[in-house]
Amino acid sequence: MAGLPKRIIKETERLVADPAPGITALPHEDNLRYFDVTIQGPDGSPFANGVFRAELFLPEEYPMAPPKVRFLTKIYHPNIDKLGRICLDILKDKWSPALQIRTVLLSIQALLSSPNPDDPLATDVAKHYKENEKDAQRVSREWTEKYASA
Amino acid sequence: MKVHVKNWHAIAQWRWDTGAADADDDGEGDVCGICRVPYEGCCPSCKMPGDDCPLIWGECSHVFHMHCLLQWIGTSSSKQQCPMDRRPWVTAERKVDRTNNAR
Amino acid sequence: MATEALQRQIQGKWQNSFARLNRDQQGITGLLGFSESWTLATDFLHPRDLNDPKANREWDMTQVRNAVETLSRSKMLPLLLENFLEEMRKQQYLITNDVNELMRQYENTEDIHHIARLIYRLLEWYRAWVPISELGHTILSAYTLTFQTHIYSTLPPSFSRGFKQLINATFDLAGTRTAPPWIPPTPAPLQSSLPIPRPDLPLWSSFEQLGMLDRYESLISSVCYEHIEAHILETCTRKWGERMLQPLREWMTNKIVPWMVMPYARGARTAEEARSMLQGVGSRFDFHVCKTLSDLRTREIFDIIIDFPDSQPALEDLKECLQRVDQRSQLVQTLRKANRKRLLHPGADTKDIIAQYVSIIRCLRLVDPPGVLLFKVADPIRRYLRERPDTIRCIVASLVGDGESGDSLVDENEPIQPLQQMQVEDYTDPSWEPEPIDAGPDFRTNKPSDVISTLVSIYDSKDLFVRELQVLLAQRLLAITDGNFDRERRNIEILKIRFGEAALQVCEVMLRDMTDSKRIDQHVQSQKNMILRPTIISRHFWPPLQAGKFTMPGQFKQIQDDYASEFHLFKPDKMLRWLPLLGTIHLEIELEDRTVPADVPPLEAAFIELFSQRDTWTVDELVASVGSVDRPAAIKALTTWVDLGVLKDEGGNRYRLLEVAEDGFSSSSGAPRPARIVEEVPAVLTVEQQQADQMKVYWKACFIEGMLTNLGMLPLDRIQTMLKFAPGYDRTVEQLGAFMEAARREGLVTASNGLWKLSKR
Repeated sequence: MAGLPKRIIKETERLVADPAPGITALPHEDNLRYFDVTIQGPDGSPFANGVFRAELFLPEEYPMAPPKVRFLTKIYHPNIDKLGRICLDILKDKWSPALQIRTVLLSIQALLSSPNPDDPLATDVAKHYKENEKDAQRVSREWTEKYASA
Repeated sequence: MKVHVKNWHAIAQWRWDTGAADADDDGEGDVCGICRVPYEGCCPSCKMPGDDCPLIWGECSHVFHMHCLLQWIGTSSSKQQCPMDRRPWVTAERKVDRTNNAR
Repeated sequence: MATEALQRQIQGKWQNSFARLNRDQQGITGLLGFSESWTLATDFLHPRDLNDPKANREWDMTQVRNAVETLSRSKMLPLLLENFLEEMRKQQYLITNDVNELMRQYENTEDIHHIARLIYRLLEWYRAWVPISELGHTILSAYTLTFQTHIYSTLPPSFSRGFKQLINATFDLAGTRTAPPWIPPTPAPLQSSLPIPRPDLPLWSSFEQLGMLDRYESLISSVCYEHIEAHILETCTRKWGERMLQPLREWMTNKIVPWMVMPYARGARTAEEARSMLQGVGSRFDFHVCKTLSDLRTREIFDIIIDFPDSQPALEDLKECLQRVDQRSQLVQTLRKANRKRLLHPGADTKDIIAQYVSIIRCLRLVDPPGVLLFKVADPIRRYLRERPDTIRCIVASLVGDGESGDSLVDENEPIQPLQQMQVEDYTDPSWEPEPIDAGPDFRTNKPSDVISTLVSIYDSKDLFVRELQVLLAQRLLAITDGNFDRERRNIEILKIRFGEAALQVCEVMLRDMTDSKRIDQHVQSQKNMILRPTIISRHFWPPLQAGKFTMPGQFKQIQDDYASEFHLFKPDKMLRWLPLLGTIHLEIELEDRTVPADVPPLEAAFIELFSQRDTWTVDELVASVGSVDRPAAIKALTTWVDLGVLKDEGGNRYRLLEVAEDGFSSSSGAPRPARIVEEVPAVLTVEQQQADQMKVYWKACFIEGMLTNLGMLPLDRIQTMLKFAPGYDRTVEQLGAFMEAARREGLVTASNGLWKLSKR
């Protein structure tokens, strides 16, 4: 574990010992900056009962720079594109070193509950959500069942 | 009966005077919001705690290891904001005799 | 029925015989001559009775020779031999009688001189009956064979014992010139060509003539083996302070080789010939010397190691012996067994075990530089030490030269070097050598590593050592009152070389705290003279200290507050937080009739201060006045003053101040003894204490529980990997396994196919 900043060790420790509800994050044994993440779809959202896999990487500058997070499970969400990239302010210009892996993952989970079609990454999905939210949510549910059922 | 103290060897810990009531005295204590190391520890780039790795106080009342904060302020993404509240960072003048006056 | 042919055949035969016996002489004169010769020869050859003087008659040897000649020409010698051997058989009882008589005497007395007499008597019989040489070689060998067959069938089993004793006596004879009375003078024809006439020569000649050298060959060499063994046991047992192998070989040369000439090189005509005849057997005996000495040293090895380095010569002998005889595995077995019996048991002090282990390392390196023996012997010791809770502390104590016995494990002459990792073999090293043949598959060469590296390598990680080191350093630093910690600084500098700078960074901070404390105190004292001199430490950089919260009463509180505010003036960003249980106060208690000086811990001082407010207190009142102190600690503090005659236990948890001394503590009984009460209350929690409930903490802090809740089923090594993120986690996967197994028995978890999961509750 040589060279790994204390902060990362402490965060990992806490993630393992005291995981946030519905979220797991496990570091790779050969690269402790690389985490396998699972996020449960929030109840009441079209993503409920789905388990979404994601990857999280802590860059060298962390915590001065944000972690890089990407969904690996296909998801029908206006702020998440085909490649799993996530449009979330704290992962970009609103990053602060006071944030942590845990808070970042909780924010992503919250994003699943409240999609924001006004700041889209996947424009077609956003359009769908804006024009016919009910139908879009149906597709989201279908995708969840198809790709994210545990 | 009179007790005369001839000499006394005592053990004490030093603490930063962060103004916060240190209720959890035996715990880890408060940590720097950037490196997550206790204030009385030292930041990732230091080896010696205390005067060599001092704290910095913001007017917003947030406290960090000075080295941690300066490094954050030095990045462009910081926009010179406090990491905790995203208000523009203004370093507070320490009132040297604050505690003395308070007593 | 006889046919003519048959009759002719018989007649032919008869004529043949006649012609042979008559030897072509006239008429039957030849036949008569033959008859006379036969009578004479058989008479002459008749085995006579040595005890019958009449049997010993004079013979005309010319007549005898003529007679033999006659018989020879008649081709009747085989018949004569047959007749002679038959006669011998009839007379053998004479010899048997002598054997029985002399053996009876020997058995009654165990005196070897009867055996010697028996030998000579047998020789007499042998010589008396021996056929003359004219009868030819065949008859002589037949005679000798028959004779020997008879005596060996007659000699009782006890003869071997007597013979051995007799041979044993020859070792002394070989070195003397005068023969004991039971050895007859050497007969002239047997005088040897050796320059010094040897008193044992006739014995050896007799043995040879009686065929005993061949028959008892192994017995003779076993006598020599036993002689060598006895000598080595006598001269070398527990004699470890000097080399013995060389003196033994000299002894062989001076004592045993001359003796060997008789049994093994009697026939030699020149010294050169003797040397070559002795070579084989000599080498066997030299081997036996080495074997015996190595067996002896092997039996003694544990005590030799205890005696090291005084016993170094014994080890050098052992090394040389082991090169000659392969007793390495015996050495390993014996030492392992001795260690198990005498070292690795609950009664032995850890520091003694470590000291002996260090000696073993040094000793076996000497005997076997490649370290194969050491590896085999060390393994159980290392495993045992790993199980002992105070092993690390003992090693660390010796690392910083804190050995209670005074001798440090660290050899002053050994250069300090960084810890050696057990390294993979470096085949590019020109001094590389293949592993010795008895090296096991798990043998690891650890060539030049010093003793400390070897000790530290008992554990998988050096972190434990660093933590223990930190505890030890903390204990010592906090006990320092004179501000002098040069020794500690020097130790840390030395240890940095071993453990690396980074590992000892925490210790550096501790030392810096000491320097800073001194500097701060100088400043504070220059502002305001104070009797309080604190050591100010950085939290997070010292091992956990005895925690406890109580407030010093009265003047003590005032002194603390004064100091704290001076400190705050000097360091405006910082505050002081007192650790009330730690430190020492030197007090003088001024009472009506006496003054009692005392060095006491803070709690004692706090209590006595309260007694200056009023004379009588209950334990509960005292405790309530200072804050949270546990009752046993309070009682202990009060007892200190009772022992000093300052307080009196009134019973019922009530204590009273003795303004005037009671009997036994009168001030008139001379100057009060300055009390030094400060006990070695360990200010610092030991690593052991810290670890005690660590595993439970890992569970409780839901490390394991959380992990399994979150991830369902996990294999053990995955749990181990995850736990390594926890601060200070240093258990082995085996220890974790044991813990999980315990948790399973408690019903907390279940295991299947190597996967652990939480029990459904």
